[in-house]
Amino acid sequence: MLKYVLQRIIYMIITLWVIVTATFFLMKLLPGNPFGDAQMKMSPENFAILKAQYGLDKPEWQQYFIYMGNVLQGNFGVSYQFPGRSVVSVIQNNFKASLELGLESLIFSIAIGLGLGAYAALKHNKVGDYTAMFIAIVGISIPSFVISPLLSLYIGVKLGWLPAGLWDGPLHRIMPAFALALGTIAILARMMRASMLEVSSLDYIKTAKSKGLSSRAIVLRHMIRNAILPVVTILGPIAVNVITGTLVVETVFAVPGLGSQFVTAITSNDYTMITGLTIFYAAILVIVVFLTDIAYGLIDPRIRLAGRR
Amino acid sequence: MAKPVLEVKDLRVSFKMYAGEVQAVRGVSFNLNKGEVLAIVGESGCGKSVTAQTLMRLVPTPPSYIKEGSSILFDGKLEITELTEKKMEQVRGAEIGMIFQDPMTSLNPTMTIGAQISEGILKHQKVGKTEAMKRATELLTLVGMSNPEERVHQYPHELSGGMRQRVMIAIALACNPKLLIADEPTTALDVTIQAQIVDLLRDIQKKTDTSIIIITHDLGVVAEIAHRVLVMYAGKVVEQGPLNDIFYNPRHPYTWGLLRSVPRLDSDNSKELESIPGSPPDLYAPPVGCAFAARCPYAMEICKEKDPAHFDVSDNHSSACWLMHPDAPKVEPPVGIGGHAHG
Amino acid sequence: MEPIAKDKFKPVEKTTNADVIVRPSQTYWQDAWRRLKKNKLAMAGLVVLIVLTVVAIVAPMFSSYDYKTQFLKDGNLKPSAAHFFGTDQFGRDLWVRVWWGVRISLFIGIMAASIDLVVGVLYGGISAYVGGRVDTIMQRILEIVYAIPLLLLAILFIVFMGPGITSIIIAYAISGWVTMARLVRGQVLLLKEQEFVLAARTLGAKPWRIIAQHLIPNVIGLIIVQITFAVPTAIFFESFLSFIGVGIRPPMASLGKLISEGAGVMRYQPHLLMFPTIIFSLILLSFNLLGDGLRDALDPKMRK
Repeated sequence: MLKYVLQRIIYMIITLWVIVTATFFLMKLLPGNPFGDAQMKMSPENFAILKAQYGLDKPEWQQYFIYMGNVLQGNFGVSYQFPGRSVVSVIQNNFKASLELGLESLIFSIAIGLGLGAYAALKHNKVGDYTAMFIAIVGISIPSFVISPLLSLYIGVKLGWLPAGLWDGPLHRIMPAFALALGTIAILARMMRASMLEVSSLDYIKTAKSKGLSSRAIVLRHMIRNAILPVVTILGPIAVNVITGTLVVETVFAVPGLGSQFVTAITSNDYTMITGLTIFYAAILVIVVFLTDIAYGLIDPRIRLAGRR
Repeated sequence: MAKPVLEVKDLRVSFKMYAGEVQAVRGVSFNLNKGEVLAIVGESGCGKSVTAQTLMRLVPTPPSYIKEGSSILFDGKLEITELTEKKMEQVRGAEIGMIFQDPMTSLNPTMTIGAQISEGILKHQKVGKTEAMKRATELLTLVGMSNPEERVHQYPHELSGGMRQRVMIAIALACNPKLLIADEPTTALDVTIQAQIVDLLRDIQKKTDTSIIIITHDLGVVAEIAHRVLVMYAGKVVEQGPLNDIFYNPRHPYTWGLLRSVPRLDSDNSKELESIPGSPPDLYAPPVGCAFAARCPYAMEICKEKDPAHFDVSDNHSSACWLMHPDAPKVEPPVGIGGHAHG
Repeated sequence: MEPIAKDKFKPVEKTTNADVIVRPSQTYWQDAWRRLKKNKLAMAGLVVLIVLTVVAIVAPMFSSYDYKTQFLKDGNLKPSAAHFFGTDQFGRDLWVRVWWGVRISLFIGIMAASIDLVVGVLYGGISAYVGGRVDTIMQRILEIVYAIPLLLLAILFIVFMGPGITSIIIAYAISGWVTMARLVRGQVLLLKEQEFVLAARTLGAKPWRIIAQHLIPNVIGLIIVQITFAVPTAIFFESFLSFIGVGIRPPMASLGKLISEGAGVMRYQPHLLMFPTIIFSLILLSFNLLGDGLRDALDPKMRK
């Protein structure tokens, strides 16, 4: 297990390094100028000062190491559009709302998604199965940027049942969390169903049945635990889903999170903010994938006990 | 004589598929007495596994259906084909235990061995967890595993194939069942391990006087352990009788073919091993008449028109072949048939 | 027992071949097509996609409006006989703009999926077929790339490249090929070990022959299914980018852009949100239903 954890940590470090490097080279090599059209508006002297401030007058390899050093120290630079605000301060101010929204929708979608998938598998080829899977495929086909405005318009504005936006209390959270969870629920439900069906055809289920266990006991003790194992591996991609979803959902529901800041940065071409937030998001995702791998190792005795014998 | 442990009459099992109905088992009848070891032999796909699993109602419905008129009478009082699923749960594991072919996949990978053995005990007997675990340890000793106190806490992936099959046997024996069904228990194992498992089954049978049905296509295993043999072909019993009768005095051409395809130490080594030409019929559309006729070197016209009845060779030996009919030509079994079977 | 005529017991010449197969045989594709046809949802998806494609090609050609000309006095009209889907705030006909959006979405989806296909199949195929050290190295690279959240880098890429159809397709290609490569590699590895490939190799078949005759036909089902899912993913990707503001350039509008614009004015002009939303969801739903159906029809494990 220790070897497994170490290996995962090494992978995580390599991945992070690749991401930061790729970000740096994207900034350098692509035609867009990190200062956008500001160059036109400034006098050459002022522009030179600005470049020096960002270290852009040095050779590129030096810039790379300076950049790396800054990122390692948690210094992502200062917003270009609002020079007073550092990327880190934006993260500090806005990440909490995003994290809450993300976690709430994740809990929501794991509970409903796994339940729906298991239910569909147990009703395999019956009405319940078809209904659950049709709901799931509709859920996949309606992305967050479609469902969010619709929910906000009909339930928030027209019916007035729930607040159409903002982040003030528990009621404000229901619609954004649901809009964000919908796609994830669908993915998890389909994955769980497939996994349950796979497990239910395995020999050890027959062994369990031959012991005289009730189907309830077989499902609870033998099927669900083994069926969840492969589902755990897609929690990484799911976290990607949730994070990209927050960009849209926060914008539509006016949630003061990091996602809406990111979209604002994109629309206003705030390059330092975009790159800084991208690295931050990427780091979170890589860590989530790492934690998922460790969790997987913990629940699967084949990995947990590797090397014990 | 005491009542048989198991009386199977005209068992028919079909699978409903897209392309039609597969008649996997087409009228199988046999009895099993207390303490008896019955071997069911035949090629892959002859319906022997389906027969065995149907005895415990383990084949899922749908797609499988036990047909009207079939009867499986267990212990002289339980009609397996008519039991509710709830009643069936009380039979499985408690009255009938089962061992499967592939020990690598038959154990739950995320559960300790002790937990998997004690699960059945907890379900069927009024004992606590500690007591069940103690019993699991004893069972591991019974199936010949060293350090049982440590083994109960291990997971299947920490054991070898032979070890896992021993665990499977322990699971099947957990509640002292009256009947043990072993579905190809040695097929997936190394040859040396196979012998150990067969020895173990034989020892356990002697110690506990359990009745055993062993499904196999390995005649060596049959000779080692069986008292009686049932030869199946295309979903039907073609010959059945005591071990020695089947090995010394087989009467069905298919049994001849089976016996001649096995290498033997005492036969003339210069002769090549024979195989049975052709392959079994498709059970989507079973042929009219005897299913073996198309591959049978002695086939007669009647064979392709009418299904042969069971002709008695002796009291407990019968063969379903028209050659047994008084009007049929006398056919000598091919050379090399008949030999030594171990008691 | 009823008496049986004695002549029935004459031995017969062996005329019938015991190996004759009684059941009519069906080729893989016939079988797959038969099962796909049975799947009503998948067939509905296929029909909807064909209809949408045809309308997307034909509708703008037969309309007297185009997607960019503004008629400011006709702004924000409700749907009518003149403008089936109404008009936006600049008086542009939404019917034509939506179908142009479908054209763009489908074009991006198909182009992106094609790049996916070429890169993914080549990478996965080479990795698995060559095997050995090459495979190990390519696998390590793949594992690292897989862990990178490529969607975020794609956003960054477009921000720096500038928006447009080309940027979007390249950006998707950066992230899309990994899944395909993993799937193809897995499948080829599996096939390589199977007897018929081994037999062909033992008989001295040339590598290209083994690839063309044994590997491709057996991987193609998987690839088709994967493409059916890659197209809607790319369409989703483009629309997502358009929604957050890095999509294609105005005045051209993809469905994502139209939804984004519609969402901005939904309180007053709900039709500007409704029509693109319905068409967009219909496209994704149809692709997903068709992909599910294809997977069930082509997956040998599901064959009965």
